[in-house]
Parts: sequence; C-alpha cells; structure tokens
Amino acid sequence: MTANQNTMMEKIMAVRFSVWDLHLYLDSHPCDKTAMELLEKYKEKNAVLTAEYESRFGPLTPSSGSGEEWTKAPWPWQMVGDC
Amino acid sequence: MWEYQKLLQYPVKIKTPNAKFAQIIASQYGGPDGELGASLRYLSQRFSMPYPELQGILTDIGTEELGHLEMVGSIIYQLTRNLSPEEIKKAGFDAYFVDHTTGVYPASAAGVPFTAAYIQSTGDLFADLHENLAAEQKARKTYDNILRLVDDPDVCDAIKFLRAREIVHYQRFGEALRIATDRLNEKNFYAFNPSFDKACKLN
Repeated sequence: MTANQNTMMEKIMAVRFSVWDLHLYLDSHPCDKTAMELLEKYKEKNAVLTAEYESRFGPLTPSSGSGEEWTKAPWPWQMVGDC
Repeated sequence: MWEYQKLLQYPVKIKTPNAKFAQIIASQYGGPDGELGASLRYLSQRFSMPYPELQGILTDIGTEELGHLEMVGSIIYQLTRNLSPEEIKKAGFDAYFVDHTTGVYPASAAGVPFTAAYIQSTGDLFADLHENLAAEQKARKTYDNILRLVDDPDVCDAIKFLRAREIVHYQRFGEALRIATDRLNEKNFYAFNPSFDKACKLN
C-alpha cells in the first residue's frame, strides 16, 4: 500500500464515520435539520472521495467490483502501513 | 442483508507485536462484554422490538458492533504477527497458541470460549433496553481496564475510539428508553409488554 493510498483511505474512513454517526443520531433525533444538512454535506464528500479511490485502487464494496480487483490486498486488517 | 465495506471503521496500525496485549484484548472479541456478544444481542433483539426508532437504533448499533468486532480482530492479528516461540512463551501466550496458533478465536482473556449465555433477548423491550444500557457500560469498563494494562500508543489509539463509541451507544439507548417510556400509558407503567401484548393500546 502506497502512502497516497493510505492517505486517501484515511480520508474516506473519516468522512464515512461522520456519515455513520449522523445517521445513527438521526434515528432518535429525526427532526434535527442541522444534523440532516451536515449529513448531506458528508455524503457528497464521501461520494467524491469514494469514486476517486475506487478508480485508482479498486472497489470498496461488492457492488462496485468483483474478481481479482475485489480480492487483491490490502484487506482492512492488513493495512498496517509503514506510511 | 448487509453489504461489506472493505475498510475499518477507524484505523488499526500497530507497529510492534505484543502477544500479552493480544491475549488481554481478545476479551473484547469473544469475552463476556465483547463485541461479538454486543452485535448478536442487538441484532437478535430487533425482531421483537416495537417502534420504528428503536428498530433503527438496534439495527444500526448492531451493525456498528460487527465493525468493532472486525477492528478488535485486526488488533489481535497485528499484535501476533511474526512472533517467535520464545516470545510466545515469555508473554504467556502459549496456552492460547497451542489450540489456535495465531488464529483469531472468540474467547475471553482467561480462555473461556464465547457463549450465547453472555447475552439476552427477552422479547420485552424494557428488559432488553436496560440490558443494552448495562452492556455498553460493561464494554466501556473493559476498554478502561485494557487502557490501564496497555501502554503502546498505536493500540491505545484504536481502543480509545472503541471506548468512546460505547458511550455514544449508551446515549442512543438512553434515548431509545425515553422514546419507549413516553409511549406508555402513565396509569399502566410496565403493566403490559408492548413487544408482546398487542391487544393493549400503546397510548
């Protein structure tokens, strides 16, 4: 894994975490408009970053790729990274 | 149905293997207050849970716990890389090693295999939600104890993230309890179980 792939991956992890935590928060706060707007912002960021990452390094979900491009390393537990 | 994401919820990048730490942290994989029990507990309780908000919270937190199980497994995997038999013996990891080598197996730090007896799914929403609030605090306690025993900053970083999520989940389950309580008839508190007694009016 290159330093570049590692940096991009960490950005995606951070953005997806923001999406996820807002999603969970909205389960019990369905009328919070600020949270909804923030969620949309992070979802857009995630779409852009994911498209760029997947075009360079391969699929992040089964629906965006199969076969060798899916099975190739690194798997998440292997991303020990020397970067 | 679930769709796998080929990434961890939070980075796990451990430079220095340490079998003793792996043995301690394994309790959050398959121990009494670990992530496997957490995900099975919430994902099983969903089926009898009334109210859409509560069904959503159990689905989402149960799903996130599977991501935490993957993070803890990654920590154990990275802590047990490239160990020599001497290092394994010195760290006291030999009792685990003889059965599992460096494979990741769901058991407590003391070696007790995972059992569904660690969890409950009662079919009673108040009993389940109180179980879940307790479960989040018990998991937070285990992470606190891990942080008392482990001094590698790479390991502590991931453990601190997992600890913080227990507190967020505790908060969400507290809100779930409030939502459920608000829907009870005040003259009929706990007199019926909205998960089962369908004939009763919920309000």
